[in-house]
Amino acid sequence: MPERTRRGATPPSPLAALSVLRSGGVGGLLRRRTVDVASLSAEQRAAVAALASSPPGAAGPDRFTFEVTITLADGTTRVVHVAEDAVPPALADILR
Amino acid sequence: MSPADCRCGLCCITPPLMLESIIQRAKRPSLKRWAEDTLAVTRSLREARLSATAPDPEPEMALRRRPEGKQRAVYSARQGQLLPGALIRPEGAPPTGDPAVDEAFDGAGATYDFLKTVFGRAGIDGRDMRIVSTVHYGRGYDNAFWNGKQMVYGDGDGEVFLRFTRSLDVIGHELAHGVTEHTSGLVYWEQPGALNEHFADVIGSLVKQWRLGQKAEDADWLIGAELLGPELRQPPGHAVALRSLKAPGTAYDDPLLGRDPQPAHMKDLYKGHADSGGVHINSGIPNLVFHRVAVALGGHAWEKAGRIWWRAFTEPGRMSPRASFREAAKETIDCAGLLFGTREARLVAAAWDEVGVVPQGVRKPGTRPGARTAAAPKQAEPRTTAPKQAEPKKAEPKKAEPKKAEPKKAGAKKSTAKTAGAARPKTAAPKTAARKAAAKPPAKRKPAPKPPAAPPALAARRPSPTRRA
Repeated sequence: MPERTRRGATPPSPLAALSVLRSGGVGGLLRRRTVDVASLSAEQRAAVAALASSPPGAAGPDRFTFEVTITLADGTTRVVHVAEDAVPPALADILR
Repeated sequence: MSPADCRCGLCCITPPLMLESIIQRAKRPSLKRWAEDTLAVTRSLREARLSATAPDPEPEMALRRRPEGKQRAVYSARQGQLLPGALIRPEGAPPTGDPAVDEAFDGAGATYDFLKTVFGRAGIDGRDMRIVSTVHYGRGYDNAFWNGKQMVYGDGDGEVFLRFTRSLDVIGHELAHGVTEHTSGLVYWEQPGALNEHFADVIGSLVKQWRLGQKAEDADWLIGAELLGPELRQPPGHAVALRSLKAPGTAYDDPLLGRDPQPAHMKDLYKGHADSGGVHINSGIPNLVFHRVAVALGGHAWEKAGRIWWRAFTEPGRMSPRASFREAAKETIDCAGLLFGTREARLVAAAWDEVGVVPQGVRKPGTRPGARTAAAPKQAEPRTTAPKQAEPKKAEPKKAEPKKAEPKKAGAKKSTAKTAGAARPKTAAPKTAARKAAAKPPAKRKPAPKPPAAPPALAARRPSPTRRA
């Protein structure tokens, strides 16, 4: 069966910038960092893209929580909140 | 993330992604606020579900009869993240020589002994549940937490933070989260979450003071002072601890950590989304209240102030899971009066007033009688005078009295049938809104402001007085 494509479908815009705000923990410290998107592997990029549609998880007492700001090449920005328990393994080194 | 990794099996009709989009894009503040509150409720439900479904660290113990008394077990995750890990030191075993294991063991014991001796509490759940701790969690993990069933401690990175078992107040803090889970159930979001954190800081600090035999005026009132690594002790930065109950906002000002964000007054209340709505940030406000009360009452902080707070935060049916600072103020003032008397209640009321918190049931300045109170985070301007809960003859009720009702008859000290309904003589002691609030039994507590469209399941999760010890 030939491969079918949707009319008018546009490919997703690539990742342009990624920043993380970690908060919570027993210290309640706020730590911001900018991630070099050029250094991300394909698996990590896919995990970032999937963050927006993944369950955020629950912030239990003194667990870390992450506010991830995803900026695409087309200029759109999305802010996603992720609890420590919901961090994908591929992003463990980024969201820490 | 695969579905097998997802541990928050809570499905809501409005997905969090949609709520977050509304928060970002809504132009109407009321709409934005609704989405924020709804997201907070769903997060709290997930938190409760996560806690309830956190893996039992010792499932085999469920088959055995639970012994009475202190029962500790310390495991090692061996730099992994599998809990509980390998059992290293059970109850009755001698020191192992591993500082993290032995500190977790001793700290859990000190906290248990404190709760039992001072408050008559049989452990975390009031029924001597086993105190399970896991150390060496992760690699360079800069944190410690309560996962709903046990404590977990990281080793720190060795430069900014040392191992998290070094600090007895942090160990007490984590165990106190377990106590809260089994008593008030304070939701881990915004003001209820800040109260959850505050209570944990209070217990952690009291455990340390009790262990050292310190009086309130001699204690350092610091949380996590022993955790700071060599990187934080270098100039030009300043860092003495994670938090200070005595002086919120002064624990650190460091290039690595930033500046301690804790406010010391409601006018500086953090209203952002980070840190679950600022639970570790805004806890500074009630922390300062407790410190001032403890020092004002004198002696050992656990003897009076600690007992007041313990009753307010753990007595069945008293503190609601979504309590605001205003509710906490009311409950602590009530408990001070019940446990000790008018002087203690006044001290507690004054301490809350100094940080700008108007107790629940007391009309905020500038509002009309019968006006609906604002949502919890929107606090009124600080009062210039204490609410004077124990002073029914004070002038506050005059604001509610119509001026025309003042009787003009000479020598009229008693109200007559004609005037009784119209006015109250000056010599009478009218009941103030504050007295009405103080006179109400604990069961008739006013619920904290609720967000719209709260799921029905939230009401069913309110703890029953008989279930929680």
